Amino acid sequence: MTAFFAAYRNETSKLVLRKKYIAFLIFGAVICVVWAAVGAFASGFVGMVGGVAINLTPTPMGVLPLFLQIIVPLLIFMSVTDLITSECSDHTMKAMLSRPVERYKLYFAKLSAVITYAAIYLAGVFVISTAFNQVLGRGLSVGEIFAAFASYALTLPPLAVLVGFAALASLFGRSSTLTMLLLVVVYFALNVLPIPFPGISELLFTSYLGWYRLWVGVLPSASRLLHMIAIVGGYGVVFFVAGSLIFDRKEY
Amino acid sequence: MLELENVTKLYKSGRGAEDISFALAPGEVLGLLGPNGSGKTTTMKAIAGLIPITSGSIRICGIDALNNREKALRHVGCLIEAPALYPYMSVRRNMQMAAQFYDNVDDARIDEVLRMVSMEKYANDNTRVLSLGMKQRIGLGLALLSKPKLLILDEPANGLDISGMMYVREVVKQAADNGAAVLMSSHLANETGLVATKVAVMHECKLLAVATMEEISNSFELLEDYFISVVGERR
Repeated sequence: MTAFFAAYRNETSKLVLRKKYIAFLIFGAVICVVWAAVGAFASGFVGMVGGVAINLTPTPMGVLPLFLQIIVPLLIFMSVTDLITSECSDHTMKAMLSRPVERYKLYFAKLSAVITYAAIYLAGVFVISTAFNQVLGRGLSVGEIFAAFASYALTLPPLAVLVGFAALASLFGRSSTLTMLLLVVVYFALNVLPIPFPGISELLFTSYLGWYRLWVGVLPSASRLLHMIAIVGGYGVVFFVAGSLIFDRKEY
Repeated sequence: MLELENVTKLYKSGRGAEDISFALAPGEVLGLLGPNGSGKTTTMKAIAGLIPITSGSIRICGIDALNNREKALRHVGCLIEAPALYPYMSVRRNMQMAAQFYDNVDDARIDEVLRMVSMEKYANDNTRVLSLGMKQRIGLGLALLSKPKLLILDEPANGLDISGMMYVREVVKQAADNGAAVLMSSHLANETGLVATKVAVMHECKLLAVATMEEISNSFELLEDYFISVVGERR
């Protein structure tokens, strides 16, 4: 495991040492702040017009869909193409491959670094949106904060599957820009496809990004939960194993 | 230290390296001589685990490198083709990344290596701004970082000035004196002749001959003559 952790530390620092990833963290914080400020202003305005106290300051649950469906997936695609496709095209992949680490460990270290970054990003969004709601909004009870935290935590398994999918696709890419573009197009298509064909929604892994809604509150039946876990887990295993096998046979 | 048995790696184009077998003992410096496309880099990449081989076996320090890559690569330091450096990191940070994988490499060792390759002044500079020769020196430093028992250097003098080339020779000799086995490739016969204890001639993906420098100097005045005679026999 020493080699895995060494690779994991390296892959994580590759993300942290790039300014664009820090800029994206700040960008996320700015979105939360602006959203909260606009919400607080609008609450006051609506209250003045209607004479009824209405609170429009976003809760952590309110901002989650925007980050979960759009911003975090984009970040995942960017970081995966940086750690895989870019390193293949500029030959820096050799720097790690010539070190004493099994290839599958290196692959999982790359994926783990991306998942960690996504988790840190969401944790930041959670903390900032909660703090602003406490200051500018109506304030959340401990139970509501816990439920929101659980929802954020529950987004991680489907996001990990998305990381596995992006990593698998990026193994075939030669240009990081094209790979990123392709990932965005495919992700968009997977999200749009259930509109004309609602029947396939259950079969697409992207449909499960918002599964936290099913876990918090009234739980669905055990068989439904098992069905969802099996689909998310199945996609995860397929993406991770296929990616690992292809990475293992790749020439650098 | 290094044993290759019938190693074959063929690309889709049909090129690569075919049926390569040789052994390298501690303290030996084997110079791989051959024109471009003769299979030198493919052979080195196969040993360093950068490409999967089609058939054959590779043992490093007695460890099967194909089935136990992690253990085998602990003993290997390599510089193959252009040095792989992260352009958005400093020289020191690049070395620290590599150091993570070895128990015997700490900050003091990184400083020592930076001094060895005369790059201590540039330790905190971003590698993006460095010249080709400087990058080659760092690549050499990265290969030496873990005090490897097997040093693989592919065209190590690439981009280096005269003092840099002399320095590479010094490094190779020092590593061999310390008991490391060195495998280095070059298309410059005289450069190889100055450091190698053994020479292997590769041509059209095949290993044609392996001889000690002593055997070569008994029959040929120049290493080029030996190379021409070996390759000529095949033509």
